[in-house]
Amino acid sequence: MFQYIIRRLIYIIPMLIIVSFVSFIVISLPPGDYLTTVQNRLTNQAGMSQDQAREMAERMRSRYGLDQPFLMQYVNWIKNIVLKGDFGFSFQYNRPVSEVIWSRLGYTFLIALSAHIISVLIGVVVGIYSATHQYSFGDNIATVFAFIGLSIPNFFFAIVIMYFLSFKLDMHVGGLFSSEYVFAPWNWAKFVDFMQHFWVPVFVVGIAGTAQNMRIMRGNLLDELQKQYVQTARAKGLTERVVIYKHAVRNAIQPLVMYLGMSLPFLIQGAIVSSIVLQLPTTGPAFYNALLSQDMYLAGSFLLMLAVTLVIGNLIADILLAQIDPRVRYD
Amino acid sequence: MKSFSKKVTLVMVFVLIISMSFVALAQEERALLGKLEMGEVVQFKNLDSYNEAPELKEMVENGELPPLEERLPTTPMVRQNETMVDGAGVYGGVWRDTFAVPIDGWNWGAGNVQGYFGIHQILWESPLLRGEMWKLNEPDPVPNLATDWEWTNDGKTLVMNFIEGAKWSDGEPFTTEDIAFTYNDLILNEQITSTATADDWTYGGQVTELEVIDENTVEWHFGAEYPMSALINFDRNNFPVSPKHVYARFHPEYTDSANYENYPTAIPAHDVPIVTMGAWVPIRYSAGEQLVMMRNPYYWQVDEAGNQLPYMSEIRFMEAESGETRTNNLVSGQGDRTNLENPSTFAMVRQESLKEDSNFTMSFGPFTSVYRLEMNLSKEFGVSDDREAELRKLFRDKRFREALTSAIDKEAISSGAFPGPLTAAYHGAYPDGSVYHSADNTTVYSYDPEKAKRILEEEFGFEDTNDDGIYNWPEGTAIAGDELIIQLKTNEDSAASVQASEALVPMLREVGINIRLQVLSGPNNTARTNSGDFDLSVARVDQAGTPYYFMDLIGPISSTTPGYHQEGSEYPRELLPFEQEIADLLQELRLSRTAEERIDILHKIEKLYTENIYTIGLYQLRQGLAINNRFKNISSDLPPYLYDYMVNAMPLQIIWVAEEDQYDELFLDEIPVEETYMNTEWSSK
Repeated sequence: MFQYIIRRLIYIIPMLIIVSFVSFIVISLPPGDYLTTVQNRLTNQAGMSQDQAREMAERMRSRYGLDQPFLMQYVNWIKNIVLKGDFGFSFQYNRPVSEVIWSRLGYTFLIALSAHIISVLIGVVVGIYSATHQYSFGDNIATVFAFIGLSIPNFFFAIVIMYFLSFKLDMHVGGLFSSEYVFAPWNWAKFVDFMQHFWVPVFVVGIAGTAQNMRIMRGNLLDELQKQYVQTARAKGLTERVVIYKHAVRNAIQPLVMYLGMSLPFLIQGAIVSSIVLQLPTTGPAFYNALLSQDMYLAGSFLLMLAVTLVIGNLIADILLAQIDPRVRYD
Repeated sequence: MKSFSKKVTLVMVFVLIISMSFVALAQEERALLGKLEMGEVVQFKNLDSYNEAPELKEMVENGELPPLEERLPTTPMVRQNETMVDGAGVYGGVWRDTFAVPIDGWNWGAGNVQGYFGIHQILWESPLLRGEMWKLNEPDPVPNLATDWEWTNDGKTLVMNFIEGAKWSDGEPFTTEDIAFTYNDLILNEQITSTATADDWTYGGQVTELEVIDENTVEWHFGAEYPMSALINFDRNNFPVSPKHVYARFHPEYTDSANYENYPTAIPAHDVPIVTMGAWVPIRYSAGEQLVMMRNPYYWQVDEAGNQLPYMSEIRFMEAESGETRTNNLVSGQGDRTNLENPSTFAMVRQESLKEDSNFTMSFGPFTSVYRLEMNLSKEFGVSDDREAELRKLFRDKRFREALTSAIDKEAISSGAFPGPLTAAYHGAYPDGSVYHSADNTTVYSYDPEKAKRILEEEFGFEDTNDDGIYNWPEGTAIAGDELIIQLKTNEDSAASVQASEALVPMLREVGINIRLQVLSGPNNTARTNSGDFDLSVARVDQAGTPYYFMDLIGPISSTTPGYHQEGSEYPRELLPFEQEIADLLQELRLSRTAEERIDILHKIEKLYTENIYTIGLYQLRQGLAINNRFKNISSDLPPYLYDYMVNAMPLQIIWVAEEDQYDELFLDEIPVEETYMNTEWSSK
């Protein structure tokens, strides 16, 4: 088992090289570079004339090292990562990339983890109920809810909720705090304000997951409940609760565990589209803006991080599966 | 085409009711557009007594600040009552705004960005400001830190006087040393990327020389006579003054241990408070969350009753990923303002503003924004194949441009964007809201698709040889027999540009032209313009109403402007005859001395421009502004952008809130004093 884990970890290195190179190429593909974004901003936001904006952007070129050939920029970047742990500089945020990512990871994990946990808990519980009360009224309601949650894109929920909150309920939207509470010390009122903002991304990000978990749980459990060992357990005289929770659910939950492991990159990505709509200070919008403005070191680092977390997530899923299912063995 | 007009009718029926109410907005007595003399906007004089905000009075009593008379300049700037439509204000209150660009750092002299969205207008003070020119009947730059100026020596010297006895927000004196530092050590210094360069200050082949006469007076020595356009160089964008006593320590000219590489990052974003001449000082910044600014105790402007400005004590800027939630928060009452530039949101927001318990009012400025179709007139720059070469020849021929403009129904595009008085057809050069626009000088090519087809067939010999509705290139051209396909690019960030471009496709198909539309991301679009790699482009232009300040939008003022006729590095540019005339007129404009001269020259340019169809106008638009109801001194026709953005057009320091409507300030005990500055990182570096 241990050797298996080590081997899997070693495979990461060549994968990272390929991912970093390909992502660097792709980010540099569109015509122009970060300075065209600067030029745009100078004309749109600063009210500069196009002439002046273009000249000013040109003058900044050497300061950002964007006048060097592509391969040189890539090699320098990799060298700094390996030797100094320096992931480069974000032009957009004017800070080291590691600072930008790190400062946003806190809220990203909080939102994604909360959404994740809640969606698993609710999904599993409702799924079990659905399976044990198949075709009942409760099951049908849950099914309708699941289909709605699965088919409507989550950013649409985000937009509708935001519209409703601001146009109908006169509440603040966007970010995690209202204007008065950003710098306030933590007290009950601030906590309430935070929850008023926080439930929106958790709901939006979690709803599709909840629906999915529910349907999977329901389907798997129904399959398990048909199997012979369940009948045997009932014949033995075990209570219904023990039959379902100790035996059937434990088997039915395995695919869900696999799926949980693969959700680790999802945590980092933090449901990009919803975060952009909801204006949250998480990694999603930073990644998106980095791609748009060709802030290459930031975008490249994000992609590297996503790739690593994907592999590690898979690894964790495999290990967890081995724990739950004694039939699984790795050599 | 049929489905297009059906859609238009439906929309018109629905929205016409709402849009009727817009007309009423135009007739108000709280309008200031073009009404005032310079002396009715600002004056510099001594008043009998002065007054300060209660929180500052308390700080003086506690010994934290020197008394008001010592903090104000010898002769402060007095803002006149004529600009205050609700009269002089009371102290207190909060302004809640949003910005969506990360703050680089505070060193604006080295090109650092402080987030835009109004923050720059608050912090950057310059010798002159053009933000309030829209109020003047004879628009001229408004004195700011420079109180008055005079041309001497046959127009080769400009004597400029600055405000006496004014102080920076940390109490240090503001003098001409700061002007000299900004000009000689930042602008002229090639190693520092500031917002202007020596090139901008070169007249008659000579870089302008600055001579400091005394603490409050300088002389500018020019290489040409009466280079009036130099006054543009004194505006906020080009001459934001940096405090010498702060930055000389980081500047290699003054400090041996300093270097140019570190100069731009001298004061990072988190290191507040910072020194400014603006009405508010940044005191707290949490990256990605919020920027808080409090009143500047040393601010050098007062109202006619002697009250030190600003009226409002606190400003809170939420940092967002984009400006969109601004509109949501304005509607809910959680934010104080938003701009409305996209016609598709007008109706929805207007409905909300009409409700009884609505938090905000909407106003629309004059026609200032335009959407226009640009044709790439460069003969060789950006040409990579025969098709492009032939198209450039077509574009350079006035008859083709006439055919193209006759094929476009501008009224339809304008009503398709938004029916009613907020949009109108536009025929090129300047929008209706511009003081330089005159219908007499504008040649209008009316919608006539038959004429377009006739020109293409008879004058150019186009023929639809394969009967697919699209013309084929005639014999004698390098691509004879090919379909007439023209590429059209536009910016995806501007939804209205995309909509207008999409409307053009079926219209031009009717006259046998196959348009291939490319909707590009912002940076991509700019990059293609920079490299000249495009045929047609639909662009939104906000500054065509003030062409004196944006000459690059109407003619060839440099080798890279206008964007649709650039000079490449390898090929010389061949200006068309009317372009050469416009270019000559623009050079005259740079040296014009009076407002009448300017109007005269710009009228001539409008004539040439529209007659020769330099660009094809599509429609023009009033930009909207929505501000929370509780604010006073907001004129009914305040433009969100004309000469400069809203914060300088108001200006923000004369806006006030009645006491019963004020929100609580949260940071009154954090108004910066000498000690606060000494506790910063930058002060001890």
